[in-house]
Amino acid sequence: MKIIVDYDLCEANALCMDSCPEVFRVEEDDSLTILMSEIPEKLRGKLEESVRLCPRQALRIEG
Amino acid sequence: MARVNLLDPETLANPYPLYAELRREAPAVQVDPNGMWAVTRFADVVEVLRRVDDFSSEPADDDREKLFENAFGGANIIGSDNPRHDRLRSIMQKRFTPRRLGHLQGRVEDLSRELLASLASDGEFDLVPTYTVPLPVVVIAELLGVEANRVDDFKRWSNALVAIVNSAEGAERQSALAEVGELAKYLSAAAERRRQDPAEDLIGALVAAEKEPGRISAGEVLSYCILLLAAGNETTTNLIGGMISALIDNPDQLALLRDDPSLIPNAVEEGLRYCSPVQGLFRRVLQDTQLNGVTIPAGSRVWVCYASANRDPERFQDPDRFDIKRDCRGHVAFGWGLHFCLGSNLARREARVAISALLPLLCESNFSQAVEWLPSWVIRGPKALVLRKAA
Ligand code: HEM
Ligand code: SF4
Repeated sequence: MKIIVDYDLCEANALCMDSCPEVFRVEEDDSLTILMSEIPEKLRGKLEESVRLCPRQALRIEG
Repeated sequence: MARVNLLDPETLANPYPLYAELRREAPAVQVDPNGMWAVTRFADVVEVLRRVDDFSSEPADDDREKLFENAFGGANIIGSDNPRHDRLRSIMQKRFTPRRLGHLQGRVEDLSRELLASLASDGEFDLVPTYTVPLPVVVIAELLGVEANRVDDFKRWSNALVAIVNSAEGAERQSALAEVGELAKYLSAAAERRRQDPAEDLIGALVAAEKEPGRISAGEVLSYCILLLAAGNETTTNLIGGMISALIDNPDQLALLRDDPSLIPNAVEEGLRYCSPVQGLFRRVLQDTQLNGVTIPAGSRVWVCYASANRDPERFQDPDRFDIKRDCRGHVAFGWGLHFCLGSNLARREARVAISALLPLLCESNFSQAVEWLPSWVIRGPKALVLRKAA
């Protein structure tokens, strides 16, 4: 499973990081880093929560 | 059900029972004023906000918002679809992240303390003119880069803007329009100064973007500044006031906060959900449009009711309870998606500081409150919030 970020929409409010810190990190310069290219199945629930809570709808799960 | 009117005095006083009826009725229900289609269920509200190609944010030629746009010579983001929306939003996007606003913390704390220090000490005061109104105005004035000696003028202009947004009539409207004219003149001159002499403030950032071909016009710069004022002040005022009122109504919740101030951020989220300072805003459909089985006819205005979505029992358990410990993430008080509030992180920071600074006073004695709510179905909050020490 992968997570796709639309960087034109993302504005670093870090709500995704609150629900799934294993995968998301907002950096000092307000860029968003995805910490895993291939995300283990056991994080699916948390990841779906991040997608649902991202207010800019900048996230999409693939796979 | 017979066609209802949101301007009905009983509904203006407390719209929530009507929202509950509308939610039970259908995904979209035609209401007055203006025969607009009210969307009130959480799932439908999110769907409308997501379907930006079907539900346009651009005002029709005869809408009041269009008058504003014409007067300032450019459109603003809240009334723009793409591509114009993203062209304009991206200029400001990174100026309002939590990190960029971090440096404001100390300033907002000082300001809150100063305002509280000047409250009447005889145990009866109205927190609206003394606290909830000035705090956001001063903060945004400083961010835009208004000179300290013009902040009082700025407050007056901002009030005039609010009066117009709230549909003032007659002589009040005339004088408010004159004030807004002055504001526009002031902002144009401020932008002009920054064209000569660049600055780091928000007006400076907008002017700097003018250098990129096709990025933003002078009229759009002016409209942007006005929108930041209009969208950011009364809303934040009403969030802070609405929360104070809810805390006094719910002494158990106030006691929880007193014992554990680390609950403040979540209390602010719950305040947003519970108060919904922006009750609802507009969309327009250009052709016959389906919303979960209801056909909304071409040309209709749609009223997207965030406040009702935030009280939908399908989404939030026991939604009419003010519960500062609940998981209220995902509320739509700031909208959702493309037009999600640009100033959300600023409003959150201001509200957290404002509540935290006021907390000692609120807990010091038993207060009773006399609240007068704004008579508006778009913007909801206390117009007067008089606290009295119980004898
Ligand atoms: C508690 C306070 C606030 C509330 C409840 C609130 C609510 C909202 C809502 C519901 C929207 C969505 C509009 C739509 O869907 O069409 C919005 C957009 C917007 N807000 Fe706020 N707002 C608040 C504070 C602020 C502040 C402090 C600022 C500015 C400094 C601000 C600036 C904006 C702007 C510029 C937009 C338009 C965004 C766009 O169209 O892309 N707001 N706000
Ligand atoms: S929640 Fe959405 S907008 Fe916020 S940092 Fe995460 S991806 Fe970006």
